[in-house]
Amino acid sequence: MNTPLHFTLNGQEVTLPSAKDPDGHDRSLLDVLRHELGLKATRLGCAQGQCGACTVLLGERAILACETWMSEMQGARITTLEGLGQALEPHPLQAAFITHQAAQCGFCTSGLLMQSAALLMRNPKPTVCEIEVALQANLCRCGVHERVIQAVLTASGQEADCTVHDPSGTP
Amino acid sequence: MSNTPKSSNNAQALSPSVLANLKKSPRVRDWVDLSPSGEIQIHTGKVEIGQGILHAILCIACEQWNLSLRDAKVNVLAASTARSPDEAVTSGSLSIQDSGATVRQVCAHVRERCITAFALERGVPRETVLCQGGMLHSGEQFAPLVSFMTDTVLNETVSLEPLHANPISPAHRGNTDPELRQRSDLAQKVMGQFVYIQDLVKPQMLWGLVLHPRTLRGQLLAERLEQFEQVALQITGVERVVHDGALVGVLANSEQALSRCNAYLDLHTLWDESQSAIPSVLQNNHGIAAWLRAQPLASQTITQDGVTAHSPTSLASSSPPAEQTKQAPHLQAVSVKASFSRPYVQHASIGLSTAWARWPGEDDPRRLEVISHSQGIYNLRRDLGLAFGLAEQNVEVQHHAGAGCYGHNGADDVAFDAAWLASFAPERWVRVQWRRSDELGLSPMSPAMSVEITATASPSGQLLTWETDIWSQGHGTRPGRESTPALLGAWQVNQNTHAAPVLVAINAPLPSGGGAERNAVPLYNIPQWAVHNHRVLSTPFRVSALRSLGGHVNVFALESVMDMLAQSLHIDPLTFRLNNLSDPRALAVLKEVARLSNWFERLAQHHEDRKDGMDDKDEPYPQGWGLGFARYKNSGAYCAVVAQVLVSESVQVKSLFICADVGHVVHDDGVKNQIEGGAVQAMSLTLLEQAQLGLQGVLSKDWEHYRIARFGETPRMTVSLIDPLHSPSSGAGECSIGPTAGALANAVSQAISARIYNMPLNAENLLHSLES
Repeated sequence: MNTPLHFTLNGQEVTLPSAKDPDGHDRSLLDVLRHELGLKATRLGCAQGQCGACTVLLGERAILACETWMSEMQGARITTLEGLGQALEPHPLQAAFITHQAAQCGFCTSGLLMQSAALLMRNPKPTVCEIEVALQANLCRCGVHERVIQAVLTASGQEADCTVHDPSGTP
Repeated sequence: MSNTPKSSNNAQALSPSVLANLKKSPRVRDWVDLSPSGEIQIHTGKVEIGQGILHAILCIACEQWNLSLRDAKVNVLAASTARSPDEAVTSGSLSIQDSGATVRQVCAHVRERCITAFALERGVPRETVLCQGGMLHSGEQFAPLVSFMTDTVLNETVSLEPLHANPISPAHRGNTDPELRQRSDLAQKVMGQFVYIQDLVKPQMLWGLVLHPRTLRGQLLAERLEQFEQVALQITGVERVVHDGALVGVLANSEQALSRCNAYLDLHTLWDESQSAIPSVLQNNHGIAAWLRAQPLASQTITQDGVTAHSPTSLASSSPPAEQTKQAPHLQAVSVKASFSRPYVQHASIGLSTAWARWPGEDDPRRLEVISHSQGIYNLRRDLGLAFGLAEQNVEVQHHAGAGCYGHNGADDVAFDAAWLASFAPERWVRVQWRRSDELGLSPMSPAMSVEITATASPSGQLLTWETDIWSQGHGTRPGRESTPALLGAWQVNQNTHAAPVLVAINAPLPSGGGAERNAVPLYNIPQWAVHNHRVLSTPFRVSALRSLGGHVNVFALESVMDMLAQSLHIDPLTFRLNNLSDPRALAVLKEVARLSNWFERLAQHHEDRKDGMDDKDEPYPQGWGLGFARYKNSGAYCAVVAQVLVSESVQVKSLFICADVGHVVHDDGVKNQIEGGAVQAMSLTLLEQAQLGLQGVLSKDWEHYRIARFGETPRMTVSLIDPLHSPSSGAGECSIGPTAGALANAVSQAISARIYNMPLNAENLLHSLES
């Protein structure tokens, strides 16, 4: 018997007739976001929970939408990149990513922003090392890692500084 | 004639590639046009693959017209075979150099032509007319620039007189105009509004899955197919299962239905791979170098006098290189001989290759429409024509951006897959997306390479002789170059209708940068040198171009040997390089990277510490600094890198200092971003990456088995650009790859006082180097 599914998505109440597909198989949050609700900023990179491209927020915690099942989402509070900030009022992370040009192809960017948002919620002034640890599960192939770290520092109101992490103190 | 645009004093002569572009697409309208609503549209044949090329082209147009995006709407459109100039493949760091320079000339032509028309219409002297802020001005007179972009102007043939300098515009407009400083696509990406090819939706579309064998010789097993078909057709949403040769396709009305098919396919193979003919020695990366040297080869030798080809296998597989430089010709000369290698490495984009295709109706002749993130839409069109027996003009390919592309990935192959599968559902758009295991397991790999160098230098530190032998498969199997299609699926469907054999990879000619031999010719002054490039003709795995091609391994090897010679001579490695170079731009990047990294101060301190017996006392792990340098393709951008590493159980890169000269800089922060990205990718390739291979194909098919650099492994970076006045632009995307690899090799060697000759630079390969 299908039970309607209620959850909050980007601050809006959403109701789906069921968490399951017509054959009774549980659907992933990623599938529902992209294909049922048309929110495409959450990306499919591997569908194996190994790349972080589909990172979204469950409450204030970063989770992987490709490995999150809708049957567990009753009453959940989900935030995707579309709900993080708006064009006229971008989240500080979004503003900093743009200023630092912290992307190239941008495919991993949604996941990085959501993972960073979760970090700043639990740790408003992270060190470079804490940022690296938080983003360790998110892959980027274009190589903008350093820019992303600097952008997260900026978004947390800290001075972006290349020497901050260098114990040897070289410039 | 007064209407003809005037040549500008400080304009550079048009390059052969610009002249070739303007011969193929001669009209203004081929490059610059107006939309029906009067917005300016720029057409380029180069495509956005994450590198920001469309923004850089926009900067060039705005620079020539001296306008800001506040002044006028200018769009650079994604390329399509229906509309764009044919600029072949977006590769080789040539987009700014070729397409950018062409757009610059066309925009300058438009500017000069509009100034002339304005002067005539308003009866003012031409010299008094300014083109600024989207307007033409002279005294009290003014009019929008765009109002003079009439059909007459747009239909003109572009002048071949060099025009491009804009005497009004400040240099580096892209760097000073706040509207242009930020990449125009970036805000959309960061705000989640950018539409990738994966995000498109079309009415009546079908979702497709195309399943390939895991090796080039896999055979479809009829009973396995039957079992799969039974399972698949029970899934709600699956409409059809089709097959042809070794290919299997699924058409469905949702991605969820395909995911459920995948769950079955993750556990069940449909093919017999026992005919794979993959040599078992390739299961261990230490065996690859010997295997490469033992294969049938097509060899050529490059010297000052040019290129000489040898017939295949005429050189005995592991015969020593030509005799003349084997005998050290100078008494007391310092000599180094060393062999280096890298295993197969993978493309490994974060996104999945995706394509759309539709066969619209029962037209005669048949037509095919494709949407692709291919690097070469015209080349893809040609090979799709070959594969499906269509004339090129009956195939239309529209580019649509996907995730980052660093070389020949699965984009073209999945376009074939979509076209093949769509042929079973006429008139409907079919979207095919590869799975992660396809992306890592089916995309062409970058070839494994073995490089052996013998070099000598005089006791005073002058290079005397240099000889390099390279063993590698070719670095190119891109579409558009052979008489049969270079598309994976075309090799795997039933061969009776359109036979398409597996293609053996080739190398681009050296004047275009070469393939395996890219950057093998030293830029240093050497009286006598030779490079022998042995192209391996066996194809156990499909290989093709990956960022910098052979340049990654060749510069790794070449710069390692430079440090080995310097060490034997007791000369500082930087001084040794400076003493053997005369190109002022090469000297300039090396000196600048020395300044950035405090090279000489540190060297003095190091000697001081050694004298006092205080060497590295405070460091728990050995630390090393290393230098790498190259001019990409020996014709592109100059780049020097200094790396600082700590070596514990693995190599940790603390910092990279990079100086590059890419000629005229169009978009400063864009160039820096490309150089940094190249360095991080080179670091990942050099320290971490290796494909895992088995008799059943590529085993490293997920991110657990194919390791790339992560956030905790990336260094702090400092990038400095030298922008020499009046030098034409070179591409920035690949120039930091080789020098970063060389710098890391040398830094690790300094840290542990031992050299690791085989990539990746890890503990296992250190032991292997020590043993051999």
